[in-house]
Amino acid sequence: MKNTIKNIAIAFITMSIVTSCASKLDLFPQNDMTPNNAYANMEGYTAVLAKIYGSLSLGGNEGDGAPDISGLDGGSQISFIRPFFNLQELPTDEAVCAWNDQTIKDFHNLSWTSGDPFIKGMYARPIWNVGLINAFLREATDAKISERGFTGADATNIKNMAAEARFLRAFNYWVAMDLFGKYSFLTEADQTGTTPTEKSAAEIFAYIETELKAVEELLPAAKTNVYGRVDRAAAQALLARLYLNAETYTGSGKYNDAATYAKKVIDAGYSLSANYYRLFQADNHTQTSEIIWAINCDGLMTQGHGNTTFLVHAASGDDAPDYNVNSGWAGYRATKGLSSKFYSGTATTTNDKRALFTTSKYKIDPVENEIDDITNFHNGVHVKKWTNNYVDGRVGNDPVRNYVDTDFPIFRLSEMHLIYAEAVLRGATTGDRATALGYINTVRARAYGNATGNIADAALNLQFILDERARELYWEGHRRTDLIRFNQLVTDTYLWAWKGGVQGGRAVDAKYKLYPVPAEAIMVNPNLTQTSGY
Amino acid sequence: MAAAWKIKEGVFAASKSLSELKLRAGWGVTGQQDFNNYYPYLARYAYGSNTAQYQFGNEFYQFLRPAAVDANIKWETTTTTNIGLDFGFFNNRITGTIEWFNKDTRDLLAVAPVAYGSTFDISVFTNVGNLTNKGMEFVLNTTPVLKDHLRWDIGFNITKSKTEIVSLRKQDDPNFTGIPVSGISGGTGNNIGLHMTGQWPYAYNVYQQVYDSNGKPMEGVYVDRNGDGQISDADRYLFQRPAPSTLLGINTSFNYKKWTARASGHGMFGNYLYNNFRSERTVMRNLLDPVLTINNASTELLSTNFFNNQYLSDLYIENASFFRLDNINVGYYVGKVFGNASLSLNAGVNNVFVITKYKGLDPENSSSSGVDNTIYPRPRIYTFGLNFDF
Repeated sequence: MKNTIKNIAIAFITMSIVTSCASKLDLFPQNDMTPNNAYANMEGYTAVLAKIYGSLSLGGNEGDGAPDISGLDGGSQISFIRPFFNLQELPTDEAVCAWNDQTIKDFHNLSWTSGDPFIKGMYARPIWNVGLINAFLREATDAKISERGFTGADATNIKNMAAEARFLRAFNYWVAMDLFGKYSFLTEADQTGTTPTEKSAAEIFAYIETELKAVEELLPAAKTNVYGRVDRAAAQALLARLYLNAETYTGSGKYNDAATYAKKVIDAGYSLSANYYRLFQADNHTQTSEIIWAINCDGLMTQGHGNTTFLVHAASGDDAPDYNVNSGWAGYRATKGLSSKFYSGTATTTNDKRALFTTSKYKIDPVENEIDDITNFHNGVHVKKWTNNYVDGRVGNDPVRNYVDTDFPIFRLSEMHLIYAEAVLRGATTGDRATALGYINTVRARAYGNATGNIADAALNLQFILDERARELYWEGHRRTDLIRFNQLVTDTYLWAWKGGVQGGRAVDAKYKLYPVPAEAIMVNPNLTQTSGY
Repeated sequence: MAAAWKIKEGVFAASKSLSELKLRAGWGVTGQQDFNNYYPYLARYAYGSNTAQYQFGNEFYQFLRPAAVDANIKWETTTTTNIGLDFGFFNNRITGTIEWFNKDTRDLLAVAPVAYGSTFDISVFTNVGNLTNKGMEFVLNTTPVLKDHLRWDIGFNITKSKTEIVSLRKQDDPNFTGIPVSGISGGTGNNIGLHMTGQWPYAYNVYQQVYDSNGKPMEGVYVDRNGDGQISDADRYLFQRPAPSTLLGINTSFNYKKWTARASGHGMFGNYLYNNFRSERTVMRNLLDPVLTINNASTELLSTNFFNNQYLSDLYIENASFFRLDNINVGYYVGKVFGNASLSLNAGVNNVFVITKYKGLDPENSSSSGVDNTIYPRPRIYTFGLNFDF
């Protein structure tokens, strides 16, 4: 035994303690910037502000590439305009989609689930934008401004940017609250890394209202900011829209405030553009008499498949040249529910110039406009509202006519007219019926080019307002919200082709008034709860 | 750290048939910081491209965006313990090893979803949890024939192992159902895998396909596993995984005078792949695109006749066990030619054959997620060589 022990050969082959070069851990990036470098000058602040606005136009930092939100499609799922359009328009009479992209058909069928990738992207987008705005606001405090040595005009400019960023945070929360009800919540007091809490729709409503009223005082006066950046009228317009839908969000109406804030915008010096169609084409940045705030798109500098490039291509097919783009994606049309607001019975003409349903290949046709087959692009009502056309007929900024220059108006003056009138009809005492009728006829007179479309007081009722909103605001992302306010989205009060997945239309479960929280979002955030019914 | 005890010298020094017997044990810790990007812990901003700018007034401004960060990211560490017995008999004509190993990995690094809004992405590269990998390895090398001009060697090894996720960051939450992993192509935003405590990593998380009386899969019809009357995410179940439980290797060589012959092969068993090519391409929808174009499709389409993609069906989780004969090589030494030069000839085949049930191009897939999108086949290479030595 002794011998044995003696012969045990113990060999320490390896015993290395892995050491790191200590200094290497303190290296800083060479191409990327630390926050202190990023916010060292006005260029940095402006570039982050460009991203805050730009996250509503593009899904990533290289067009759709270098996505802000990974694992989803840059154009259709994580940008803003296209997902917003899909979630607001596809479940309604205003839009159907021929494609079979994943679950896209569930939207018009009103049958989506918590596993839906489009809903996942649209849930992730607003809170991403809020996180970015919060990070920006932490760098735009008075303390940081003075610490970095900004004074005079630069200091004022940074404070204005902060007010705009707060407006945009309220806007992002409004989008999320409207779609999801309760939602993830963070403010600039929550450092990056904080897991969001969940706030009810009523709590988010109160936050948005407080924030908008605060920035109303801080933002530049109406029409005094540069094009693309918001001013006081944008905050007032969002407040008007928020109050109009207060009953949906909180259970109690705020129609007095809706009329008050709509009137503030109307009286701020705007006027309706002479030609309705010019508000939705490539040179619509010239229509600033009516457009209060638009999300900017450009065929050369702001290239993505999730902004107006989508709206123009998706609505066109073999008639793509009419839209001044190189190809049609042959996907999106409207049901007869929309066209019947313009054409009574089997009529195929109207004097309402907002009826932009005729192209070189498609027209108003009582047979073709029926949708026997959703996947057949020829069925349905073709919409030529969004185009890449210029008044002078030129090619857009993208010489190959792929990406589109058209900006996406979020607030237009005519919406304020409609809000005022509806609020009065719903009992607002801060406005009066004669003014409401006058506003409606202002909108109608622009639509007809003269007074022939004007209505008498007897015709002014809530259903008329809902229909007039469809005529004036279709394909701009309002319809789902409007139908919910009138309780016509999920009920059988109003049916349209393929509502609920059947050709004649049917009522669906009331849970479809809200979108579910994505299953994965709940999985990774224990503070979140699923919307009832899902 | 390692230690070895030469048992032969101590205990069996007198034995004739036993030529070597050694017990060894090892223990070591290694760190892994193979981050897929730099500075994952540091708040940092980067500019976007020229095509991602925003218009204020008449000017365009490039985007400056903060990156997603995990401020608490740390090294992944692996503690390896192994005990092995090396043996040799008959003058080492038969040698081999039996080894038991256990690897404990802590703070495993992987891309995993995080709370939406907590950083600038919905998934980040982070420490997701701990896992263990344990098993046995058996290696045997023999020389059955050894004569003056004749030698034949055979080598064989087999490894059995099991990998299990021991804990995940959020396991304390009773509602936590695991970390979705393995994004797939086509079904954008869909993950086919799940990291789940007590399971193999990247276990496939799928719907259970229902088949009709002819054995054909029924499109979009799945087993309602939780019996709640509807098919939802909760009906997905864990079915197989990408990693093999058994690895096999075999090689042999034969020398007779101036001739040599060699062959080697290897196999994996118990591994499954998600045939993403099949789930994405072999549906009618791929053939009849609504944007008025007609695409190509695989004849595999006829096995399901699916119209739409059914990405999450267990139909596409295929057994990828295989055995591959990697190469065969024959050589002949000619001898002196052209005075001083010596010539040898050889001929061989690489990637000789694969035995597998897998329907995709290649059952051997290096991706840890097991999502197979291979569209380029592995080549079979025939070689013939003349070697001159001067």
